[in-house]
Amino acid sequence: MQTVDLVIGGLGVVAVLATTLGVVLFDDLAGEQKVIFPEAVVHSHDETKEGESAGTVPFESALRDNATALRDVKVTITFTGTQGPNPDNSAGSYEVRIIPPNNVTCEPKQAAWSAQPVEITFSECRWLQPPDSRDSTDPGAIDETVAWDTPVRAEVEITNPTDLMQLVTVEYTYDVRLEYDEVAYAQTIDRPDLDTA
Amino acid sequence: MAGVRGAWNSRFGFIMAAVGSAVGLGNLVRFPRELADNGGAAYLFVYLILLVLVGLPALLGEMSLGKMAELSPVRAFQKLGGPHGKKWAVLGVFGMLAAMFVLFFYIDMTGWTLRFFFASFWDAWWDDPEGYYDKIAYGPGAILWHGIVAAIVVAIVARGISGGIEKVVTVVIPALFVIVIGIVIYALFQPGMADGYKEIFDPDFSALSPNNIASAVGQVFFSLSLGQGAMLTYASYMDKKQSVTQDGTITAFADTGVAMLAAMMIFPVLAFTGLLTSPVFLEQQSSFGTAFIAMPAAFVQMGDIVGRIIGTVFFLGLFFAALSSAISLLEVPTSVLVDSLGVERWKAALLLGLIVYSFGVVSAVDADWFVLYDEIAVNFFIVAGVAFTTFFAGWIVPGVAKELDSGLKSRIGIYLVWVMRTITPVLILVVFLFGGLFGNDVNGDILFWADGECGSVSEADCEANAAGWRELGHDFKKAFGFE
Repeated sequence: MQTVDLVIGGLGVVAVLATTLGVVLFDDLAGEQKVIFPEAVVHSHDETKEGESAGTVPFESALRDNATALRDVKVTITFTGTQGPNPDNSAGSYEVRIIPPNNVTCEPKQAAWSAQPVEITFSECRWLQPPDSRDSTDPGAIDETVAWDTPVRAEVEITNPTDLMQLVTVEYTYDVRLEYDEVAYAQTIDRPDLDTA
Repeated sequence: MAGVRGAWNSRFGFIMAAVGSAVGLGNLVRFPRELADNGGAAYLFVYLILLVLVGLPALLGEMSLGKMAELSPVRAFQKLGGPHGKKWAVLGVFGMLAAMFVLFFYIDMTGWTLRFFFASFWDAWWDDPEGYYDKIAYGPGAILWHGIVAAIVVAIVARGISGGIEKVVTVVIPALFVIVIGIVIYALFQPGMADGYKEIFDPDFSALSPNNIASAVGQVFFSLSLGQGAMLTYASYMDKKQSVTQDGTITAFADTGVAMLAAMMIFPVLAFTGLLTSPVFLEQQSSFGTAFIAMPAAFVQMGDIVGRIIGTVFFLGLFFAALSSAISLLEVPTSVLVDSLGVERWKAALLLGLIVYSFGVVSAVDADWFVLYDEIAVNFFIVAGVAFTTFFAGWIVPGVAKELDSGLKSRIGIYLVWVMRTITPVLILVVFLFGGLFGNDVNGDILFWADGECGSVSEADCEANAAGWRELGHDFKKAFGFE
């Protein structure tokens, strides 16, 4: 018997052992399922409302197309007109509150008055159960049966600015634009990608 | 020598074998997804430039070495390396190991395609493609199909070049072309298919990043089966009258042609069945998900009869493509054992088949091992293999230009060798240093986690590690005046 025959015989035994171990120990070898939450933007929301003088500009809309999260929330407040004499020398403030569904809170954000468009972003404001679970080994961690039909609400509160030259409160008009992406998350089992030919 | 080792019966047989080696799941599955995700026609434009400047010269260089030496990789490098031949032989071992590591998991994937094909006849995936894929991809069943495919590949390689490999590839590769073109033509006449073409042909140059370009280079390498010794081995059985330049160029463009046809098959099908905008497709982050989940879901949308027929031939096409590549990969180490150790061909094929089977069992039950084999093969052996082989052909071996001119009326060998010596290695280095290895994409991908997957590493550790690599990348760029 040649050496190569012995090697083939030995490899045959190894193959049988590998098969046996693979079948018997499959559950242990495979370990826990790795679950990922790929996200896809299913709708981009873009809504503009006029705001007049002091007060709150409210927004309310429902998530669509099975979206389960918001992403890239941005509010742009643009000064559009004046009844006062000197918008560049005025001081006031904006406060923006985003109220996602499911009792998840988003920290309100403030910005100082400006005659130039003011952008306020809430890029960190997204929700999921549990929050920010992008990579979990527990397939049960996310309750996908949660109804997401409660509306997204946003409130932009504008404090009338004071004209610093004349020290009087003046009233301006604004456009308030609310933009966000509605994102669908899905719980899927991680699958390796193909790298080779 | 060729008579003892075996030889191709015809030029057609060689070209089909080379195309079969090049055309694999990378063309049919990965390329279409890469094209759509990375800028459509813009990615194609970059891909074609890289094909001409990097892929084709590397392919012709590797083929020239095989044809000149008429030996398997280890002995070919030894023979052509002159007085330092024994040291250069290490490069042949590199190629052999690359082929083996790819085979460990590639046989698993080939098993999936065969299982999906047979499952088409008993409706196993029809009701729930995603559930079926998750059920069969890993586990005892995957071991069984891994074993079946390994046995088929061993049986074909054991029968030799003309008696086994050539007979199979001259049937399966033309059949693959017919299948792909048939589905492309069918999709062309379906209402709503245009969005699929937009997905792959609308140019978006803003989608091109250093990482994407590095990924395109990787796709060129893997798609042409470079750096694994397969093309060198196949060329070693060529007729001396054949032209490496002609046949290699045909192989390279046929490979790209099939990849484009695959994109023109997959995306229009996804479009006219409504899958392109469906979460079933959108949630698939990998090319696997596109091929084994989204496409079956699209076949279901086509209806009972048409969907079942097209689904069945689609998976048969995937199997043919994967099988022809797997054969070429097993032929590499088999030829080494035959040439270097004088082992009988059938014993060599059986011995290597047992090794491939045993290692593949682990990746058939555990996705982490699957990824590990992939990363070792792709990020280490293949990249180094292409770089070293091109360097060897361009700088070390005299006569490569003459070999490239043989059978041609014009003299272009000297220019091709110049490209191999200068442009190709520089592009390999630049793209991998500035794109892959020191990439700056949002995920902090680095070469060793090229898919943005951190494997078993925690996200925090992964990001910390990637940040370190990015910093090193910036230092490197500053040192060379790029920042």
